[in-house]
Amino acid sequence: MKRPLSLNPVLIKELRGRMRGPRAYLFLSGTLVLLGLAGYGLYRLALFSAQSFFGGGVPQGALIGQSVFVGLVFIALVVICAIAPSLTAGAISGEHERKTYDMLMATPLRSSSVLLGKLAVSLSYAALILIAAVPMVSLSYVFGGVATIDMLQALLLLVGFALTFSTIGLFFSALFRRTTPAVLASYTVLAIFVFGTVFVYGIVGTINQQSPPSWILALNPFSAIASALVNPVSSSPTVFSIGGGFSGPVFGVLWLISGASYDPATLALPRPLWHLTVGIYAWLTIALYLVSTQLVKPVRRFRLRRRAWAMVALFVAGSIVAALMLYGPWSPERILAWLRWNLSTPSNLIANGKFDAPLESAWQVSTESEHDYESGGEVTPVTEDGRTLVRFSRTGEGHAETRITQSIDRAVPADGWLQVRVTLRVQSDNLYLCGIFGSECPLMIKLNYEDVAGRPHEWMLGLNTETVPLDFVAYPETCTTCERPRPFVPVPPKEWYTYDSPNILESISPDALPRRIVSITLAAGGHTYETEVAEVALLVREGRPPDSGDAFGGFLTPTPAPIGPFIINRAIQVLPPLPPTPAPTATPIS
Amino acid sequence: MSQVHAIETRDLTRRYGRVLAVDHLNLQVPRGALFGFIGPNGAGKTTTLRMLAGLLEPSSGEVWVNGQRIDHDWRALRQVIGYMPDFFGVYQDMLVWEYLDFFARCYQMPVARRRTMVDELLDLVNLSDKRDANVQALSRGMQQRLCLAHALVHDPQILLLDEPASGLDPRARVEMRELLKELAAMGKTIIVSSHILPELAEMSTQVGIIEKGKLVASGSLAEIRHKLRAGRMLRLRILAEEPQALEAVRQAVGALGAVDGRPAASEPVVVPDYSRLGTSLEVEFAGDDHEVAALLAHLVARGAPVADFHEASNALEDLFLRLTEPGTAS
Repeated sequence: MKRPLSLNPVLIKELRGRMRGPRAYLFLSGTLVLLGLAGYGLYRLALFSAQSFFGGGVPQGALIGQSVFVGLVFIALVVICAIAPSLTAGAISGEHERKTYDMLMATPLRSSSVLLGKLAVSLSYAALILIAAVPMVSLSYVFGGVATIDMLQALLLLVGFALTFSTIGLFFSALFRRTTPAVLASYTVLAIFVFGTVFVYGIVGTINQQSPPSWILALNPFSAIASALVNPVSSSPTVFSIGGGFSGPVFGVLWLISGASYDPATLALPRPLWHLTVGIYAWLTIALYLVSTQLVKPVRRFRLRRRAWAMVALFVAGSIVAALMLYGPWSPERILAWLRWNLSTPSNLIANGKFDAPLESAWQVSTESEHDYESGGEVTPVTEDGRTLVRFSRTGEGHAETRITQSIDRAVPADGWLQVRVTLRVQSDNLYLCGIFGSECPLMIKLNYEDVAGRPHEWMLGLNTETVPLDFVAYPETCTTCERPRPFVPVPPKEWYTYDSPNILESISPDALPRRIVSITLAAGGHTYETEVAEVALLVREGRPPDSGDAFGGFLTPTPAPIGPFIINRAIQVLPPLPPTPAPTATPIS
Repeated sequence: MSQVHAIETRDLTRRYGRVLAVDHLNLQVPRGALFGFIGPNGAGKTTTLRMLAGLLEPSSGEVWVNGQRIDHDWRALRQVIGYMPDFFGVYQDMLVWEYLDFFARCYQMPVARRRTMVDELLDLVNLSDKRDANVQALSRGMQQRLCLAHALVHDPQILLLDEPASGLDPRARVEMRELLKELAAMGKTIIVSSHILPELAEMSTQVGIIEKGKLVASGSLAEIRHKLRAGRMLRLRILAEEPQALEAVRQAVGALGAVDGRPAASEPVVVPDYSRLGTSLEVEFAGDDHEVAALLAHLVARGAPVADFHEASNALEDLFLRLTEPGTAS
């Protein structure tokens, strides 16, 4: 008996009733006339602004096109806000008031069918207006400056908002069962969304004397559209007053309500507000729809069977998980990173790192000395407390370096984890810090590697006992002759100390990231020194620990983003773009 | 109790706040019955019918349809039951055939059957010529018939009709009554509510009388009469002077003997009727149809000039008034 392909009866009935007679025509014509007049007005305003503030080499056509486009989208949104709730606020209550509710409910029609039919009618009405307005909006193509994707995005957002507002109307209609209170309640909610949020935003800003948090505006459809269409950097009054002096007739206000803030230094942008708006609206729509399906039922309202309760539990859990994933710390990237990190096991690239086997089996010893008559020091395996350690020792006047090297020749993942661990004891060291060039530490770890382009590099880490020099200014706190030095790591003198480095790959700038480790060298340098190493390991691991990043899905921490050439986010580039954003500098390991 | 009833309620109760609209109602409607559900306004008829149609939740009690208890599966119930509400509305901007087509779609009727069904139903309720009229343009009687047609869209076994004749002129009432007889003849179980007993008494196979949410009597009309020992009111016109006429009737009643240990009829009462010849009398008569015939035979045998002998039409009203409390019946 179930015929899944049959059309929703309520939809057909409503369409027959609603589209009959002159009302639909008149309303559509009125809306189009309004949009047309507004478009023309926007064109005149934009033309005037462009002529008066001409400058900065910004083409007028594109700016006019963008002004007209954005202005029309906003007027369409005003129309949606004005009609969407009223299309559904009488949907269920009207059935009660016309005494048709009982007849409708005496049929086997599901309450969800009734609601979906009513919603579909409302949406189709809103879509009719929007689609009829598309040719008007596409006039902005004449002037250029608007991409099709912008238009599609605006259309989708408007339809989505229409759905949410229709559901709000439907919910109140089912709740109150009378049209007047339902209409009042729907428009009150909408007014809170549109005006209430801006009011609170303003109050909070005034009280705190600083830019209020933008999430206050998340419920505001106008803010959402503004954040979707308007580039917060290039439309900001500051940029325009410097750049071209043109801010168009609407963009100042739009920039203000889009809640956008950017870091003037890096031009970094937070995640746009509409991401949050769409999520909240989607949740609200589903929740109100589910409650409405119960409100519409004539009997057994909110008496759910076990399966329905399971659905409710699933919905609640699903919303929480979705919120965490979309806006919280459970973003898919972070989950994947977490999985990758936890599924990977660190592997040690160094053989004979504990020196159990004879030293020569894996390590080559080499020394150098400033004076020919002095030794470059000795590397001696020593057994102490049941373990083998390697002693680097030298006594002399001139510079010397004593080292052991192991060739590795292993690839490392560029987005992975590379860590060096060393257990050492500095018995004696007669230089302040690491000497006058910072290249004579009691222990230095050097990595020779190839980067992605195959260029050779050397990464160096020095460990010292931090003896304070008399004329400390003369002694650098990092190696001055090395290619990629790290700040020195202090170790306590004359006792065993294990140093675990942070992720080496994060300390190297992206242009010189290693692809292949060639060799590792442990070296002691200076004049007279004695350093013992019990263990050295070079650990490599897939993935990174997922503790980094914004726990609020990027809404709090702005990330650097390219700014558009114009006001609209993805506008066609008719001019060479503004100077590129400075590349993010690597954060040093502290 | 082996017979499966089309509809049975067990202690069906509905409260509105403190008001008991329906009070432990035990109703039994056999299959194929035309059940007259009668009670004064506000007695709980509509509440009961809405509960039977699955539009209102009982506060307590059970509804059994075709021997199955209806607990949560109201949707299955709705395929079996056609419901016509007492106050019904029509959608705006809708044509008559669209109206029926809409409900046919609600019952998920296949396209092919929908077309023919709409025409058949319009034919049944005599609205074929109004097929393409706007629903709002129909007269009250036509709308009522259209509403009845909507309840028949899915060819239900059971029809619940809430005051289908209210607000109709006498001609439309007769038409509605004929329609109901036709439906009953089709084998449907029909429950018709009304606040006017005589309207239903003629055609109902069964009657249930409800007062203040309680079923005060149910069964066939004869059974109810019998149970209440309620006589029917006989009206006689005898072409004689008053004393002779009274004497003739007394003798005839006396000759009839006692019925159930009581006199067959009450003392005759003279009813003033100046427009006609002879004497008009009324007696309350306790016997059945055979005894009524016997009474007439006795009268005729005694040579009484009986000009008129009929059952007073307001006897049902009296019965109704007697069943429902004085003052509340309208």
